[in-house]
Amino acid sequence: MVLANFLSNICSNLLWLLKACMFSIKRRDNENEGRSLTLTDLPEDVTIDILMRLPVKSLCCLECVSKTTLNIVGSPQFAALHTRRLFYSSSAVEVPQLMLLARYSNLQHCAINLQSLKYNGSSCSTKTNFADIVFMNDWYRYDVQFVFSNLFGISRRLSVNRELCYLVNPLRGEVLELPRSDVKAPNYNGYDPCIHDRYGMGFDHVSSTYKIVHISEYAYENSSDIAARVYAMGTRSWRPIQSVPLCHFSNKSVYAYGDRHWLVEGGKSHNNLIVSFDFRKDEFYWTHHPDLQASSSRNFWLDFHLLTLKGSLAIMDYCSYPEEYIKIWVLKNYDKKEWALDYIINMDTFVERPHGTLLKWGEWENGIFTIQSGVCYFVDLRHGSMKGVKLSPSIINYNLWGPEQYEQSIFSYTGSMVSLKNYGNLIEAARPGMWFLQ
Amino acid sequence: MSRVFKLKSSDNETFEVEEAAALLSETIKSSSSTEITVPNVKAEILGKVVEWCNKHAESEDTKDQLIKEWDAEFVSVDQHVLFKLITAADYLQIKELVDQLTQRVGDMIKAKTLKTVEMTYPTFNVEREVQEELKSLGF
Repeated sequence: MVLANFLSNICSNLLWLLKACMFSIKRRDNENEGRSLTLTDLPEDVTIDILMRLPVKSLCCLECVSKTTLNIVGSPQFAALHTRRLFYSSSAVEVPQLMLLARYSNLQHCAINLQSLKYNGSSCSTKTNFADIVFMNDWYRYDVQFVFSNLFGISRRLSVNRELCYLVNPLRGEVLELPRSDVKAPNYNGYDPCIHDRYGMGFDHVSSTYKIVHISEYAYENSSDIAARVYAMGTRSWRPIQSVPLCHFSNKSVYAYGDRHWLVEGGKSHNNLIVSFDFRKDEFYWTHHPDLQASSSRNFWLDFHLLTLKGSLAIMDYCSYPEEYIKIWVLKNYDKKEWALDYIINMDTFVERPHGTLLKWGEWENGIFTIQSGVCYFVDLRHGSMKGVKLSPSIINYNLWGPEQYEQSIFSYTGSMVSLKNYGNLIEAARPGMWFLQ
Repeated sequence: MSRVFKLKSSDNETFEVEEAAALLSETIKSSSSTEITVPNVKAEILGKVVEWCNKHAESEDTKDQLIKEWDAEFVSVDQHVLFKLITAADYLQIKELVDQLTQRVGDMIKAKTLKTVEMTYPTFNVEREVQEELKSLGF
């Protein structure tokens, strides 16, 4: 009895297997019969149309799924198309993410560590450790000059007239050294003038190229001078820019409407605070801003900040003395240059808030944030509230030093599909996620 | 006096379409004859495309709320029907229909990738379950 059942089971299984085989043979014969269409069966321009509508997060997932999608989504042409859509279509604004940058230094080396930070409204936690970059035998100075989408521009001062600039793409684990922008100071008469350098990155949607602008300020005994150059990613050298406004560029710059905007000081009057760089024409221009209703005793340099809020340019006034408020003007209409005072937040009631100056503000999903002494302050612009969250100390990943002092800062970044390997020889990582730069 | 076009599916079924609806297709517009065979598209799918064209030909204002709701219902079909519709609409070059269908596919992909927490690249691993879900879309 049992044997009969056993045999009949085998028979029915075999029969099923046979049917399955025949079915699959039949399927192969009749292409359009019963087979389900897959995305890769669609005409390529339709597939690209679909992919272009997706946010970066979805595209990242797709890159991992199959070779076909990797080839489409990972190509530089697609990245440029997608970037262009990100910056020129109002429907495609990416949600800003947070990057925690911890800077370590001892007397010999210094290093930066990049980790993603998540804020859920009540607490902060670090998620992925993206990169550790160690500057060997160089404790001197480096600065994060800009963040453009997910690219961090880091300048490193080697000596008075020599500087290196690196592009770091933490999401893809890429570090690229840019060609040097060494240029002798104008009116160089044998001694080195004091120099300030600023870099800014943007995307020229007409030629579909990424560009970086470099501004050098020279201070002589009785005068000052300024020069600028622009570099198109993938080319060999920097090109000089003829006309540069003579003023002092701060390190506060943001990217909006296809141009990069700096907060500057020393313009023709107190009312000229924003200089912008147009990446299509490779030209500087002044951006008009509203009357910021601040007395001349205020320090524009320290109290005012440039931001982007959901793709729009904004100016923030952080006043902690004598009154305590935050005011934010937003550029509502780019073509007509119309600003509106969108937010006035009274800080009297806030228990925890940052004090003093030297704050850098950035944008998070629902508002703005800053960091001071290991505490991150999030302002939720929907409710006009502020919350201070203590950050846990960054964990030191490598034993090049003991528990030396480190500094934490937070940057806002958004996703993009760009891959730096298409623009030059990447610096090889010593091991995944870790670079040693000489 | 509007012309009547005849669209023939790959399984030899013929659909009669009024001029206004038929001319929504660039392919038909630039064709010299009023009888067009649509290769590789079966009657079931061609029928739906004709239905869409008829609906859009009769409505004056495409921004009408009712039409939008009808469109939303129209694209809420099974994945494999969706892809077949796209292929047909693409062949017939009906731009607005292709737009609506591709937007729908994009939304489906977005929904499947909602679960990922981080923007990760090939260097890191995307969550297993998200990969599986995407594979079901036929990547």
